[in-house]
Amino acid sequence: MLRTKRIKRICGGLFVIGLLAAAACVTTSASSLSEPTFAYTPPGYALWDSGSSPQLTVNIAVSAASMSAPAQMQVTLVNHGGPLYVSNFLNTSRGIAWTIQSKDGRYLSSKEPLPISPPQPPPEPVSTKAALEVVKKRLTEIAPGKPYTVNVRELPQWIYPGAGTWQLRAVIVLKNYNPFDAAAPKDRVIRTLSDPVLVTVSP
Amino acid sequence: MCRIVLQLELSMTDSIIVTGHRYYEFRSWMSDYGGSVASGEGGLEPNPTLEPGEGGGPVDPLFFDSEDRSFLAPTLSGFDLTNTAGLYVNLNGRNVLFVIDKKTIFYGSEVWQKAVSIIDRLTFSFDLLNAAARAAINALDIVIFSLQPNRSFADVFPRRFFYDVSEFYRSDGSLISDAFGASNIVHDANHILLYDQNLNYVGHSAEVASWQLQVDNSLAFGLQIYETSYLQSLIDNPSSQDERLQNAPY
Repeated sequence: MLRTKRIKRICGGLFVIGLLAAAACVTTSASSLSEPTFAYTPPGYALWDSGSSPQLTVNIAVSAASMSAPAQMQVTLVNHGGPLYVSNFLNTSRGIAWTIQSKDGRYLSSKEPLPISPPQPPPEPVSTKAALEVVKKRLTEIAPGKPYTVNVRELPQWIYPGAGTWQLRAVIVLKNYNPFDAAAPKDRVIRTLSDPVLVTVSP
Repeated sequence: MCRIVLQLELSMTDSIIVTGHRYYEFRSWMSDYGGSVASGEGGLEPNPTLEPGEGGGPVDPLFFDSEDRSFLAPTLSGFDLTNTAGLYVNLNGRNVLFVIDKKTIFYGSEVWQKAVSIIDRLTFSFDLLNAAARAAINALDIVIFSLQPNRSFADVFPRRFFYDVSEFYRSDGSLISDAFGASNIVHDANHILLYDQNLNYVGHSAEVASWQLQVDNSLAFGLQIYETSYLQSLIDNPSSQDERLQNAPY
């Protein structure tokens, strides 16, 4: 009985209070505008062959930008280099991060911090080159001339500071998990930034 | 007559009512009905052929459970949580609620069974976890299994974890281990704990702390070596990224 009451308090009381807290966030977000938190994402799982580093170009398009509906963006990866295979889980916080700048270039924070996903499911370990080829086939190949588009849907407060006109850019971070890649750890990670897109976010 | 039988069966599993919604006690539910689902087929697709209690077994109350828990959906998210089932486990004297979105997770499907198995593993592992992991779980109120979130994430207020069940699958289409799923719950519970402690709860440092928690409790969860290695590889990721972002963003 005591436990029941406790859970009621947690889930009922705190939820109501949570609504009030959410409202409070509106007032605190103004101060955060001068204290940007830069985009962060754990690296997305990727495979490429040793010595054939992919050359990525990233383009973004925004299909919905409102503070009263989920933000929807398309991130298109174009590879101009060697063969690249990426996780099917590529998404915000799984290899994709977002930056917001004002029209005059100041880095801004989203209205609320974006929660990062827990780790993506780990891939199967491979110990032979034949097994690696099998894993590659299960991933998404981004070949030259075959762009790959990820549809992103996030709550607007995790992307935008609020209503207004902002510069939005995507950051792609991929890590090569090819066990036969002799490159140093720092050279196993590639980061690519998209050009900014001017987005007008409605209230 | 059928109704009388059903009521008798439903009364077998303990349950509590929280904010007007019923949650069945996981252990007794597993004992009474855990093995009553005919098969684990269906994946993320509907499988209307699955019925509870096939072969004369007891009738699973979760088959009939259909409660509107829309209040759990984040504002503006558009999540549809109008058809859900609820379970709870008592961990360290405290109830943690589990909600299964029945609109996207079909009763008896392999995703349904994976969700149940992950809860089971978390419950089984709890006493073996270190103090930090148990403290993290103590910061978690609700886990919501659904296909809708688009990706898994924790919400610090209310203290809930949305587990996107599409992430029950690896890139090769196989199911993740119960241990990894359970450790993911602890990972995100730790973000909530960091928030409660007024520490950085998002960003690189928070991720490293939460990955480390998974690695430190790998034996308790029963993580396989390659899973632990994968988590360790995320921890070992060159942290120069942080410095780059802070000093010269791009």
